[in-house]
Amino acid sequence: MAQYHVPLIIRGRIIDHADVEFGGRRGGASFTTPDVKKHVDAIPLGTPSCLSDLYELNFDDILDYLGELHQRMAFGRNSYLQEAFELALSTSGLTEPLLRRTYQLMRDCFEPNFAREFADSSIGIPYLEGWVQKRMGNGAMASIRAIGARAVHVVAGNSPLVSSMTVMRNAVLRSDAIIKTPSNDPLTAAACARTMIEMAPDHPITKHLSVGYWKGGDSSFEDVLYQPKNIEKIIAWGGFASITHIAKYIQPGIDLITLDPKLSSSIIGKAAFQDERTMADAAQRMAIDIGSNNQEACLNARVAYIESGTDEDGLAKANRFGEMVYAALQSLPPALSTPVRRLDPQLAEEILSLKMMSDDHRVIGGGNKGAVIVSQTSEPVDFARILTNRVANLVPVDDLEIPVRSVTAYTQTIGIYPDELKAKLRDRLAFHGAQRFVSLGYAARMSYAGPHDGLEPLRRMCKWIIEEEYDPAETPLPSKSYAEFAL
Amino acid sequence: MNMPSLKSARPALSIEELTAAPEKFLDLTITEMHSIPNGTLQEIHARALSAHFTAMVERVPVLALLAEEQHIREISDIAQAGPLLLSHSVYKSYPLSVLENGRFDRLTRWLDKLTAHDLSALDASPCGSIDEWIDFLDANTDIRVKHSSGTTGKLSFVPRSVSEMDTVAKGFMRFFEGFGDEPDAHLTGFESLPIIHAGYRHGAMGQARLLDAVTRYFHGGDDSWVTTSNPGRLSADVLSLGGRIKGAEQRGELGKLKLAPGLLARRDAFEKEQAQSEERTRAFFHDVATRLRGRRVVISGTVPQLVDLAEEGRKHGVMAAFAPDSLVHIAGGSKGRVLPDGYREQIVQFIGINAYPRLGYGMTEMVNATHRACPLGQYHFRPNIVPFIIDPETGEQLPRAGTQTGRFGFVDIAIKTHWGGFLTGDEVTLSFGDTPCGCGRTGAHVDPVIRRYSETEGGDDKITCAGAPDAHNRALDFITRVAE
Repeated sequence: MAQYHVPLIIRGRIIDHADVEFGGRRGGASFTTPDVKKHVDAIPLGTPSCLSDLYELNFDDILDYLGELHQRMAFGRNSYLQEAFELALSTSGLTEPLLRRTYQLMRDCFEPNFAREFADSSIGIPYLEGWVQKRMGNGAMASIRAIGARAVHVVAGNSPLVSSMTVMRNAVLRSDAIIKTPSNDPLTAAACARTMIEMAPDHPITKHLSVGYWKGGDSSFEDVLYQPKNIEKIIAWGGFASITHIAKYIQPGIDLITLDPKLSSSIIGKAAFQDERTMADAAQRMAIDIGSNNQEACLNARVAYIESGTDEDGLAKANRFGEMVYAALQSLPPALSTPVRRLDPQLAEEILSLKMMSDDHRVIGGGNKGAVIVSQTSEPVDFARILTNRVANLVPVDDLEIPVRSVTAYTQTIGIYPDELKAKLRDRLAFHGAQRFVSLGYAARMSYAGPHDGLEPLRRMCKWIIEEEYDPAETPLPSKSYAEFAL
Repeated sequence: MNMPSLKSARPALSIEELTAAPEKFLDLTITEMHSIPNGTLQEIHARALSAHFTAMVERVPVLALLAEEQHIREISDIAQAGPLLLSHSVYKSYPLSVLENGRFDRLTRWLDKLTAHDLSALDASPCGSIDEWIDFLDANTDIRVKHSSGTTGKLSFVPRSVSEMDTVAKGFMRFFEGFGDEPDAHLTGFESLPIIHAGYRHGAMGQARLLDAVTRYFHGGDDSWVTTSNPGRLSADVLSLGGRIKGAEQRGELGKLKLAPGLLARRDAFEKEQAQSEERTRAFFHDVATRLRGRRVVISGTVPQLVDLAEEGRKHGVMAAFAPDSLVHIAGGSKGRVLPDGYREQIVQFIGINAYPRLGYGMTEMVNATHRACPLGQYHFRPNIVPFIIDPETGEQLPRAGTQTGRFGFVDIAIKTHWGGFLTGDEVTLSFGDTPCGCGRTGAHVDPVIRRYSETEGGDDKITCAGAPDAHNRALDFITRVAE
């Protein structure tokens, strides 16, 4: 059993003690790490005005820094990333080819042109760079600025990219980040931080990043850290239990931004079934939306509503389409999707139960290659929420009213085919809770510069400050004539 | 082997008899059944398991399919049954919409695959609710479905039948019996003791079905032997709805919840029942304080049920209600409830016993659902349970020797009309019996530290037995609101 060490990094300082050990369940990797409780006084940024060093930089300085980091984060040359990759091989849900490609692509988020587009389209660089003046209707000359905040980021472990994106966001927002790493990816964020320390040990961006691991929910530590005197924001990626736990720290002065788990689906209109070639095109696209990164992300399709019809002919088409999707899944390139190490045991039980007990479902495939479950009625399987490991459920419908009504606040992406359907359905889908519509086959090609999960997290990660200036000559003070002012 | 028989009038049970009819294990005393040498027991298990498989594989479609999937044609060795354990997902593998839309014809066709009884000629389509469907099966077949309290509204249905009822009753009596030189090794007069139960009298969950079996076997069906804190019925429909409401609330989908028409029609009956609950509690404690006061009784319930009963007893001024030598059956676990400090003393003082009794472990999927801990705290399964330990991640069977920790599965060879193989969601540490427990009992035994896998896998939406009344009330409120 492999043994790793995860350092605690506090603003450019690497603490390497091995006080506590985690992991190692059932032959998996285990790691040692310093006990964060011993450093609880050093972890938060004591005085908010310590952020001021970041404000001596201009945005181009930040991009220069990220540009150099982009160079140093090349997977082939960065031993910290390679170590994180090694550990992830035994802790991640992703297989080796997928992980390798993810680590190879990781540095792209630091690429200056991407970082610029990301900051500009989410917030607007002028708001990050200085005070933006705007004349208001009430006579004020307002100056508005997006100011960085002191934040704890509780990052998710389903993809290592969550860690690198967090580092990038923190840099462009001129914020102070404490990243709490997940047990299934405790090294990626630390690898970024160590690369930054090696590159520019005294740079303000390096000195406003801390990375540590503690067991989520360890209240002896979190009770102390999650106080308004220490932090202003908690950005939490996580499941129902972990968000519920963190929510108890919410009080005046602490803002919680939750990126809770979402589910994605697909809607395939009847045009897809007009001939064999169109069906094959739709099946190929469908397989990509299901299989990308082995269905580990929120944006992967799990349930697909297909307008094949539900009469005998319709079901035959649906089953045929299921076969095509399954075949397409098997031929996806290994850098995009592979057979999984092991089908999730709970899901495996559900699939086996359906195979043995249900007249209403046809199961194509199974095991570690994934499966396509074709419902023979217009209902998704009851266990749709746990679909993963390249297992999708196709639901034949006679019209698109059923998919529209099945959308909830937990829906993230909906891949739609053909494209014309998007414009027709998007308003109603949005009312029901869906947050992103995309051409079928492109669900995983997310434009990160856009809004995320319908909640503009980047804008919420900063503090929006306004300065208002009034000229008494234009806007008289109320003491002269209060009645006039009130008008 | 020369083993004494249960009643001296009957001949001793031979290995052959026990192999041919493993339910007869429950005719042996605890001392007798837990004195069978491990080697003999293995031999009986291997042969009885083979016979149970052969009998069921022809008649139970789900077993036939699973055996085919696993390429198993016969069982000559105990370990071969390891891949044939059915998880709880099988027993709730029908679509939830079947309950929502009241499609009990489809539910019957589904159930048909789980049982050796032939249900193909039954037409359950007139049933308007789960309760009606259960009553319909009770009236027209030998099947006595047992259902769970339900996760997110989906109840699991285990197709038990009349042919297992007497074994259930005997198994309940054996719970109270000790071993060897233990003071309670010679249990007598069980059939002359009134039975007190903290909960509902009727319904199709394990506890109510157990009371049915006990009155049938020991009291010729005379229900006056049983006194429950609620003489009404724990409705399967209301339980299912309670679970669905909880799930829908968490997902913000309450507006999408569908109610079966049959359920709305019963609204008045539900309301009446709810209005009577206080009166029923008063009547129960009046009965306890007068007719049953100081008597030796059998009293059963889960820990939370008995805590609630003790609390109500205190309010009604009833303490030390029964004789100190009463038989107390407590199913272990807090069932997700946070229990008050000193709850054990509360229960002891209310009942009037001298010490908090040893708890039981088991599950509704076993014919004798609970096994009382031995004086050393270990749970010993009755010999009709053939245990398995499965690796929770890989699904591989762990070696059938020494002490193993993993997911607990078993085949209950005393079951007659469905496949007895079941894979639980419990993590247990089990000794296969090659080194006997210090208490002297032979056979497999389980360490008292038992964990549910679902607790670490987001299983916080399971409404447990103890939570059931809570879900019940919530569901009744909902029905009333919807109907207004």
